[in-house]
Amino acid sequence: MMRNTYTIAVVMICCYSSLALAQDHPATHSVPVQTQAATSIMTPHRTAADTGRMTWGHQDYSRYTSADACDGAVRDMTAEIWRTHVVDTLPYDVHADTLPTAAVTVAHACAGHFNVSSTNPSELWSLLRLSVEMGNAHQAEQVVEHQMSLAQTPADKAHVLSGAIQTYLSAHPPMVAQAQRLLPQLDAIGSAAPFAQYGAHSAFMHYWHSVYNADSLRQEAKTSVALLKKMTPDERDMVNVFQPYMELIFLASTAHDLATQKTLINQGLADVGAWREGRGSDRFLKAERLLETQTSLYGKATRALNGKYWFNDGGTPHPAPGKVSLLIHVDHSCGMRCYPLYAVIRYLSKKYGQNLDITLITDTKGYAPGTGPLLPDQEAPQVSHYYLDFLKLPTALLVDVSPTVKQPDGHIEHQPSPIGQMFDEWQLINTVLIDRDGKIQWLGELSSADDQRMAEFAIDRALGHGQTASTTPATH
Amino acid sequence: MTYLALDTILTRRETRPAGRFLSEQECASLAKQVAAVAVGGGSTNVFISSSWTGNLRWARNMITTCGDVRDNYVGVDREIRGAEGAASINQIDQVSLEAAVRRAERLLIQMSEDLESPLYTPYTEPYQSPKLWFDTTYKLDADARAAAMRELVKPTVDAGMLAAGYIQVAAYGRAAMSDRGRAIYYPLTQAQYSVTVRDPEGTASGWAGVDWNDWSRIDAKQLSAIALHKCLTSRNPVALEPGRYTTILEPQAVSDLVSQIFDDYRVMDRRAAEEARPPQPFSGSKRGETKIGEQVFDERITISADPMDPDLGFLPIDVYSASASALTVYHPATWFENGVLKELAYVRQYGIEQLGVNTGLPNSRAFKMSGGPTSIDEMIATTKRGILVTRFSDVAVVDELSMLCTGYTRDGLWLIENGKISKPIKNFRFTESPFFVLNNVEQIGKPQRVFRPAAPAVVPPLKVSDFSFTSLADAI
Repeated sequence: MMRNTYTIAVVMICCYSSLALAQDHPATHSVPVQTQAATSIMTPHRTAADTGRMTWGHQDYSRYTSADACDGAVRDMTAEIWRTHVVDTLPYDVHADTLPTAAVTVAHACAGHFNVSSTNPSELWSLLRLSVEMGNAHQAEQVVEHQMSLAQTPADKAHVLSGAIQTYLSAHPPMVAQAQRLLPQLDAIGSAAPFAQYGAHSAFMHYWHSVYNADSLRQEAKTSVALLKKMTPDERDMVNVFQPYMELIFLASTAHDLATQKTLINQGLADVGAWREGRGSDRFLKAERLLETQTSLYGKATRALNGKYWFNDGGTPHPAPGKVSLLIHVDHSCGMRCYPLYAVIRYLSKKYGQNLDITLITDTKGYAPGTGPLLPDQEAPQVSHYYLDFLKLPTALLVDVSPTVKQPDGHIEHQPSPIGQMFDEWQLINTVLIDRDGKIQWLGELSSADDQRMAEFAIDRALGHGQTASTTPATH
Repeated sequence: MTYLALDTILTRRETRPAGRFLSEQECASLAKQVAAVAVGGGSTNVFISSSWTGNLRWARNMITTCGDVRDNYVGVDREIRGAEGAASINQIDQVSLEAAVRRAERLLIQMSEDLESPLYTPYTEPYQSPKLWFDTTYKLDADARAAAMRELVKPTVDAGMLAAGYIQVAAYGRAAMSDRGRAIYYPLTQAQYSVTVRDPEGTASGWAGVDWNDWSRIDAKQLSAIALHKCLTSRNPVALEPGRYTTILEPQAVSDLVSQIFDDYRVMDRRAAEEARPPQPFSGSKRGETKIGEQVFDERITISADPMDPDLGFLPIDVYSASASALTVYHPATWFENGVLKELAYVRQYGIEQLGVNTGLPNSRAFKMSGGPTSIDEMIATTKRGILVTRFSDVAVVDELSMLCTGYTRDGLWLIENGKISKPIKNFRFTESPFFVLNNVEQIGKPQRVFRPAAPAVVPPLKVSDFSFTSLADAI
């Protein structure tokens, strides 16, 4: 299942930021260089003589006087830092890992040039985001306080509070206490701003999901549904109405309460059908299919997976008989987008060790990173090299041959393998937990640290460790 | 053709005249010079277009300008761990090149790393080697151009008309070179000639023009005679009621219209057609499908492009769109065969991913249309009432899905009655789609090279029914 809370947060924040393209200052030596990237802001004051001796990480940021310019540059870079989990604050080293360090350097340099008492909304939002990204809670609170003093109407105040809450919760790690302090103020504004309130509650919903706090998640999902019903049709069109229902379905699924799931789906279909014909209903049809998949697979007995291309399997069948096993379907064309998932896999492997048997399953695609087209005999070793040698994932790997059919228009169409068919072609789930008796205990989509808690919850339950909902942030 | 290492190039004998533009060895030397100042590891890729252009322009039968222009485009692409930054410059001194490298590196650190871009396919794609270099073009110096002009203008002067024309000859060295050992250098020449003849009263205009790589294939004298003849026979035109007419389109007019299909990359792009956001002319009936395999034009229409075609001949690579991870290589393509859409363009990554092939099929914008047995004279002789069009100008697409275009007729328009040209007529604005035209073909003539310097075209004259002229245009 896809979660779009971050998308909502970004949309709302963007309302306040002009997102002006960064300014590009000419170099002092007047060489007519034409850049190909519109986002360039990084032209340090430099003479022709010293260009050849430039030392990375010691750049002059004195020209970065525009909040928008800095924010635009830093946003992607900081996202990159957290996405790849390469948190590194050492000085930039040209011979080592460099890009994240440079981003941190830029963020600090930029923030130093912003004005906390500015009346420019765009600059204030940029400063708030940078402050939060750098963990400077005090400065962030100053900015929010100043923004509130500038807000004239209840609706303005609601937007400030909502944007601030979303920003706090998008921090790494999330600044939950700061966000929680603002939420009562936002709710107290009442019915004047359901859209802004939904943004904040939706952000909290996402947060509680990420730490698997079931009670809080359930409460926020219900609140979000209630706020959806207060919105105008235009407002509802701007948000993901599907999200809170999916969260409720998710909660029900972890309890194996299929009756509740069906009730929620029917209720959701009725709500969304009334709001948005077609589009919303399609999503719920997808949810229904997910429900059917879960219903049909829960408790089902599995056997050892059959495949020609096994790697790092220890010569034993997988899932391992008598052990709790995790089957994770991965896509070897995913590239760095799947790094968060790989981080979770490493974390789970380290945490559970021999108690958990993890098997990665990937389908043949006809190519591998850097090369193609390939036959399965050629592709499998390359994929193995990628996962086991390059990414160093400590798991067994099955490269599952996906039969292909050449379409009349030349397209290669991949057919589901028997294993893919067993799991509904991996369309809505990518992770299957199997208990010691070989029965499926849990299915879901594992894609990042946000899903880590729910996986741990299910694994602990299968191991018999027992675990209750926790508010402890996920870490790895 | 194969790619060579920079060092191999530097030790080879120079095979092309040097001086007016950068030779292969000079490009390789420049690429090494650029790579030497890069810091931070990774790869350095240099894309060069070095050019010499000689021109001669005249108006009212007198030379107005004559010049030689030399220029260098140097694109620098720095890549570290999958992140790329690019800058371009037109100066090749050491300080300027270093500045470009520094700029590319400053941009690079803002980009996302992509350690294993799934289809990182460095340019190892084989390319064809058409003969595009002609000494006849390169040797047409200013004296020779001026002498040619005097001879070309004399008949116009004798007829009491006014000529304006342009001769351009050019030589290019195009290079894509990487410090990872892959290098390609391609020299080529281009020549073009166009002339407009008008009467002193300003009631008539005649035009002719063509471009080739080989100046010796341009019969400038004949083109001048055609322009003069068109001018003399189109004096004192009469107004004709706009409407749908049987129309004979000379090759230049066909090119002006059909070019629209190839000039907007989305029209011939397979992914754009499949994604259909928004639907493209060759999108299928549902998303994900195209019209490949469907009859879209008259069955006598075949349109192809082959760099090796001696009548078409174009550069098999595009250095302007090159990056560290991709080089556009043009392969032979039959886009339409007997009216059936056979191929749509795609990049190499798409080819590997979707079609199981190792190459891309990019749209070079060059095209060659199949011909028929009918001469323009025969077309006229078999027309009871119709219009003869020399060419179109200011052609613009007004509806992307139907490719409905509008523009003006220019430089010679005549009414045909009872198998003969009866009188010159005033220009029209037309509103018509090339798709409609290519489905209403009555007769087809012999294809010939036309004036299209941006990308070559070989097209036949067409006689089509019901061509839509929508209003009179007060122009000559």
